[in-house]
Amino acid sequence: MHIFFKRAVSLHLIATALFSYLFITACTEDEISLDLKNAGNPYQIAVDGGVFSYGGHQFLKLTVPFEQNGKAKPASGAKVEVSDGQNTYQYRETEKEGEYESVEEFAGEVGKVYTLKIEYNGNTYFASDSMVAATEIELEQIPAGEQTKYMKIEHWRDGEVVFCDFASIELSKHKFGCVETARWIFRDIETDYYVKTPKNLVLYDHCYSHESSIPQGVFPMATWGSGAAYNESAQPIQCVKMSMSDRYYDYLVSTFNLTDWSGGMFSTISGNVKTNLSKGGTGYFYASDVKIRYLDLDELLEIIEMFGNKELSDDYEKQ
Amino acid sequence: MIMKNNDLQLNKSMKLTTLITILALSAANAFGQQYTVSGYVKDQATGEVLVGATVYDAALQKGATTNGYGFYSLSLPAGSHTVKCSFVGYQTVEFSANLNGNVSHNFGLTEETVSLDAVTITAEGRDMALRTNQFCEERLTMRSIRQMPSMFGEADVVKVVQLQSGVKTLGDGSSGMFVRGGGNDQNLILIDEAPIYNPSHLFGLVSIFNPDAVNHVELFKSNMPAQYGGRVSSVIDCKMKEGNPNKFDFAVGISPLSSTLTASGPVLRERASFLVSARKSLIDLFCNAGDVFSLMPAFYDVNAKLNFQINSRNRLFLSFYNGKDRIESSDGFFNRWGNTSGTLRWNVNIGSRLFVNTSVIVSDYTNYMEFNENKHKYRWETGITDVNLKTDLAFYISPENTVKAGLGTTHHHFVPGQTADSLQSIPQINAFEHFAYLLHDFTPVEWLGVNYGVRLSVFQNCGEATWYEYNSEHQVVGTEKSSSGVYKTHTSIEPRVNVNFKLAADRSLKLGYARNAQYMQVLQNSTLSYSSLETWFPANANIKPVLVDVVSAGWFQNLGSQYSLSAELYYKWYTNQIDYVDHARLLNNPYIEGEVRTGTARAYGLELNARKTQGRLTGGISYTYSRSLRTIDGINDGREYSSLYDIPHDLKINANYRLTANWSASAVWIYTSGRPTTLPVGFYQTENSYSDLVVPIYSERNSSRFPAYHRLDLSVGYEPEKQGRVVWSANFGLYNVYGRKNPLGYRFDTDHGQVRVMQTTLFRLLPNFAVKARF
Repeated sequence: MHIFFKRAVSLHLIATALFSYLFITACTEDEISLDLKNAGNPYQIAVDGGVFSYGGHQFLKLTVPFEQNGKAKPASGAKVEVSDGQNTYQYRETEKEGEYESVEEFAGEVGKVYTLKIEYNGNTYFASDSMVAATEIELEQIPAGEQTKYMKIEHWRDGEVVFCDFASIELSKHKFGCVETARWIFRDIETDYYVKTPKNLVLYDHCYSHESSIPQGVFPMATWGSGAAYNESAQPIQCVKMSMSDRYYDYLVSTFNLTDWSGGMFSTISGNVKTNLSKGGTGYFYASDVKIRYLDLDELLEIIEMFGNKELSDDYEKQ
Repeated sequence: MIMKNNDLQLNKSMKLTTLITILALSAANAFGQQYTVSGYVKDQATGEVLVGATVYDAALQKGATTNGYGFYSLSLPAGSHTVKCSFVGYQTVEFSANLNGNVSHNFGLTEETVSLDAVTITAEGRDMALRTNQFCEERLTMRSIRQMPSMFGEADVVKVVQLQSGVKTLGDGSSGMFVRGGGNDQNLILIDEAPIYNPSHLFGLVSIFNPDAVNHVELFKSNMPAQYGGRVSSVIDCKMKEGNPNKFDFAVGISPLSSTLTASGPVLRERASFLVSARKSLIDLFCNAGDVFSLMPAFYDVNAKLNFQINSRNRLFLSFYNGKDRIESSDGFFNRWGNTSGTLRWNVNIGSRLFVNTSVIVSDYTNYMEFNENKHKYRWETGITDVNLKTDLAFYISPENTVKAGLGTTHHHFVPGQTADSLQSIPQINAFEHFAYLLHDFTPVEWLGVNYGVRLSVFQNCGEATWYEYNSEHQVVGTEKSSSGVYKTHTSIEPRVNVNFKLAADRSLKLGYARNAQYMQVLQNSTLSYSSLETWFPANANIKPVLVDVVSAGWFQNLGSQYSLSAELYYKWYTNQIDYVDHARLLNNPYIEGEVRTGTARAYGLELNARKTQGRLTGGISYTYSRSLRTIDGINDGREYSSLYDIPHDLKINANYRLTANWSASAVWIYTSGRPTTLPVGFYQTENSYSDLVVPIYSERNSSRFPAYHRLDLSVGYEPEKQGRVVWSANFGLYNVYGRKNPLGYRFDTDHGQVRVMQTTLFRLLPNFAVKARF
């Protein structure tokens, strides 16, 4: 029995070593220097930004596409204006190169089509998008993920440790597929990042919400964001929902196909993102209706009850 | 109007059929009183039939070759004759026949004792190219397949097919085959007449063909005979061994990837025999998912065959194949795929000259994947199930005059994509595929041979179905339903002709034309041929069948007794070739046809071959220049672009050197141009300062190329003649000897806005071995 056991163990070790050699050492990934063909880049400018129904100085960023060994450069010195068919709003470059804001404060209106015009380096680029309405935020719509949970955490207060309530909502960064598409932002309003201006909406690390995911390629690669709230100071968290047009949805899907969802060699056929910029431009200029709701602890617990990892929450409660 | 066109085509087909019949019969009447010698040619030791063996009367210079079932029929004038039977690597035997009536005679050939200076390995192709009127045909025996270096020590049919000129693959280890500019799904792969829809184990590292169960393989490149249809590029027709009717044989083999167990023997002595061979991967026996790899692969396959000789004229065969792959991870990812097929075949020879084969064939391919995401279990299931009934007959009127005909029907059940959510499932489809063909192989004069025929194929979508209407923007504008009956019919007339100008005993010029139709295609995301998530999707109301017209010309020359040369040219025109739009979403998409665009394609090439087929050193050099280009509205702005397998230059050199009677050494060197890919020409950064989402920018589809692919493989084989009770054989090899880093793919990584290019490489310097015991 002893000899049989020893033989079995050695066979296991030999087999494991052999297969490890065959597969692990055989398949390698190395960083290489590759001369990507830089002739024929069809784009001279990239746009990120748009018009929100949230009033203020509307904001967008312009960058110049770059080659393999380069970095994104701001597209500085452009002449930018946005029109809704009745009014035309001029933009000016802020103190930061490549960032432009409307000279006047204004709020976008649902149902209107906004057209961007950029004059840069002797070329003129256009893009337009229509503002569709975002529905009011309902708790059951909130796209909470598996790690949404409630727990007690240690908190340092007045020189001593106290246990505080903590509610955490995990959000999928990119989930697509439901009838009503929207972008979502969750944030603790104690931080500096809560919505004050459209600029924050453009620059903040927003996430996107849909009902179910679409596996793209053989191995879908989802990335995850998370939101958290301390209720110890009874501060609610801010929930922001932004509508998107069908074209913007298509743009985002095509963008994530090439980035976060990309399965490398197993990916779908590569192609350029579905921009709404005229020839020579890429990125997207969007028009987005904004709805905001503040969620207190009771509402967060309701979300946890609906979507959260209850087993995990129970464990923490027992502690 | 469609009906009128179909009627017109059918009318043409009837006229052509009548013409062939008249020609065949008039040719038959040109000969006087003749009698026929017919029967089977087999290996004396194993009882396996020998396909392509020659039976001839040297005095009259008349001969016949055995068909795909080992049957021959040779008609000769009345009187005494000495009929010889020969086959490459076997001793020639004679049979004296006094013909005053039809004679039935089976030949049993014995393998030649190995003589170092007279080893003949691949001569079959050399003489066959001159002798037969059929064009673009390669016959691979297991003997020749075993001579080639292999990736994991074990002989692999697909890897050897990939070494043939005009056959390309994408990267290391793949079982994908791209023949003369055709797609991976355009090859008809058969095991004992049953279609196989995925020939890969372990994502292509191993093919499903168990070398211990395979008798021989025939490869037809583009000019397929009329009895084959349903694919437009090639036919890979694999026949299983039948089992030894005289005694029991057993074999056990092991290689790094799998172990094999084979048994064969008589059921009723000399009347019925069986063969069972099973392979199982080893890795999953010793490791669990997560122990060594995050993804744990495993596979098995079983080949079984039973044949029964009812009497001298009737034989019955039952073949079975079942193979499954499984890959799973500890976090819930699970993927299982595999083929199952069964063939019941009845061979009958009537009156010595008429050979009839009737088969009932069942084939099933399924692919099931599930994984967990965000507390949800996702599943994706695809597959295809066929039930086929067909009859083929061959009428051997004379050695110079053979007529073949057949008809059959197949019921296909397609599961293009099934999910738990019916709204995301692709509707299932049923279809009938009917065919009839007539083929005439005729040598009216010594210097001219003609092989011509026609195939009529009809594809009918039928039964309960849901399909969608699309507008010119490829958006869904309506839903159609059918509860029963035929709702869409596609018909194709496929003429095929080969002309063989036998310019001299050692050279011939062949010209050929063929039209082929294909009624189903694979829709697949991957840019490689590794993915197992393919969806077989049929022609229907939205997708038309692919039609290919091909013209070919070939020069075949033997030099002395050891060398042969050939040069072949081809040009192919594709109609209704499909491709996918950028970012095509092929999974969980019921509107999958909206992601597909159709257009035209063309492929052309020149294939040069030089072979040495006798002596201690045998081998060959082949060079191919070829292109494969597509023009499809909606893709690449409608401009012509390279297909993924547009690999212009392809040089393959193989050599086998007989060291001693038992030891041999082999080498293969391959050089090909880099395959096309779509690489970014620039990038832009989007989003915000909290993330650096760097988005690639592309110019034209497939306008870049990977670096040239090349590698050298070496192997040493030990295979003694069977003398003792147990005979050991072994193969040791090195794959990619000089460790060339051939890229499998590139990944573009970003680090603080900087783009880094990561290259994935498979198999640098891979040692391998296989050991086998026969008893």
